Amino acid sequence: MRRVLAPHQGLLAGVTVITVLALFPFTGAESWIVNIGIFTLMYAALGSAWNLIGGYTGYISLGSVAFFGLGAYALALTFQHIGVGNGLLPFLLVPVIGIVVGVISLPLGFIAFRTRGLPFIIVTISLVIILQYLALNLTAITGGAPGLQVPLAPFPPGTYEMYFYWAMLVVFALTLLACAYVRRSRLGLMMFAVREDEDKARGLGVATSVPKFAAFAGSAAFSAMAGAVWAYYLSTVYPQFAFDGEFLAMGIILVAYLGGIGTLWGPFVGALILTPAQQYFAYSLGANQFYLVAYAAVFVLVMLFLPRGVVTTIADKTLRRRRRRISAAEDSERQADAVGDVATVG
Amino acid sequence: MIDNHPLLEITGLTKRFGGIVAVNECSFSVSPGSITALIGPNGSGKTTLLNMLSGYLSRDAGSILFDGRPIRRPDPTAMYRLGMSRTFQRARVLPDLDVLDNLLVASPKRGLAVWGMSKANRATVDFAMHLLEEFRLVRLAEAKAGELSYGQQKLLEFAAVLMGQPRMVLLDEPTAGVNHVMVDLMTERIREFHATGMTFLVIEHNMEFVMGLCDPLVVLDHGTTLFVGAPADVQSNQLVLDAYLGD
Repeated sequence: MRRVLAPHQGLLAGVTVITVLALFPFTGAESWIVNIGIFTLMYAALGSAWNLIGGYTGYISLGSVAFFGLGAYALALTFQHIGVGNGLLPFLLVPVIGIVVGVISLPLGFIAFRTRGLPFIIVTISLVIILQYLALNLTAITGGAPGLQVPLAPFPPGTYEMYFYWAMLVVFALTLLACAYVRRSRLGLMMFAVREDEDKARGLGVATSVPKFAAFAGSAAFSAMAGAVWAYYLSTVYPQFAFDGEFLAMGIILVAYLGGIGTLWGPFVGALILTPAQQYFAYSLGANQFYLVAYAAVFVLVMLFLPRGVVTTIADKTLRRRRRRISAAEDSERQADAVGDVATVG
Repeated sequence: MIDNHPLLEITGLTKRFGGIVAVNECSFSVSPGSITALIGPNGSGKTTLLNMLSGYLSRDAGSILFDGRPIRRPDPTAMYRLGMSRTFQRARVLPDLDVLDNLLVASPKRGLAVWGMSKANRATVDFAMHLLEEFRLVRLAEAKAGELSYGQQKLLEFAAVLMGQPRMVLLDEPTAGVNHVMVDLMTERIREFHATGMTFLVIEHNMEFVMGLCDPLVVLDHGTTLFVGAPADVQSNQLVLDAYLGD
């Protein structure tokens, strides 16, 4: 993968962005703005997690929501049956839920990976629909349509959102870190090879199931972590929201496409544009369905002017400019050499 | 002790696609250290055979012995790791990856090393750069493979399969669509790696290339071995002429 930033520059940029995001609630932002921040980070985390499977490995999965929902239900169920205290303590459950859902995803991945291309998309969206039906009908476990209640966290009203904001930021930062690791590693190279030409990769000795299952399970784990934080924040989980096969499933992929799939920062940039726009339109036009039209318009505009996504387009331009500068420098060097040769002969 | 065992031995290999028998009871062997050519008219089953040998296609009957080891299940990854790698008739590279990564991905690193923090260790990168130098692609190491000319992609594909230091390389029409300067470069490289003991099986229609480089030649017709012999014998064989020119 060609990169615009050298590794140390990338690390610096990452630390800076995460620090700025962490300090954001201290600017005295009102709670509804912090609320938008939580959703932006949630989409950034979900989009980055989706990128592992969809962007890096090239398997367009619509199943992220399934694991997001499993994470949400896992948190609610733990509250119901085990009791994990309240306040900050339940946040410690989040990584555990991530790991458990990651493991659960492996046999599901085994089924989904029987297919490729379009059938894979259909298998993964079916997963969401099946889980939604299960959540609706296994009433003894899931509470059916009304869902499950999670006790409200005892945070003071003025700073209530901030804790969830930071928790979501941690989930996003972990997802980003995993993506950054993958992109530099042998594992990531294998994922990219699968995306580019899976059969060719097999012929080059790549054991393709390793990167595929790693991407699938990793993607599931981070999605579940986002789902768990989200469930605690809303203090309720019910089927339509947890396994939202339309709005949420599409939203995750939209932020990734908008920002540039397969790039490190694309989903974050996409979420930064799309989520506040969506939330803003929902507030200002929420009474009718026009906000969805306005939401779609943002997407159409970006696709019109930056069809390959924001980050991809900018990165390509930067790299091309840099290469042009290098080859210009080489040309002038060559000319200087030629002049030197003539001078020697003369 | 001289090892007289063939490196690759196929017996009665058969592949049917519906009613069409693409490869029909085909048998021949490849001696270690040879540059064997596989020639035959279009549709004679050469590529189908190659697909079976490299683990991309299952067979309906027959056996494949590589280095004395029976190959039971088609599996390209396993074949590569056993030391048999191949190129494709139409060059296949990983277009969105840069040229160097196209080589690094083919390094035979595996097991726990997959989870390491880097794409490859220093020695692997050095070896990849050395190969790029040999194939005159060093200047393009950071370019996207998809941006290379078709001929360069063919060279890149060849270079990539050498990353695993294979014992045997199957080349599917290495000179098709490649200009003569690159054909010369390709020939030079084949000779050079051949000199290090590497075995080649080459499918090719370019007879000048085949006659100058390969010995022996295996002639395939209607999925069956028609003739095996030295270039001069093949050229004068009536059966071969009939197969190519029609009887």
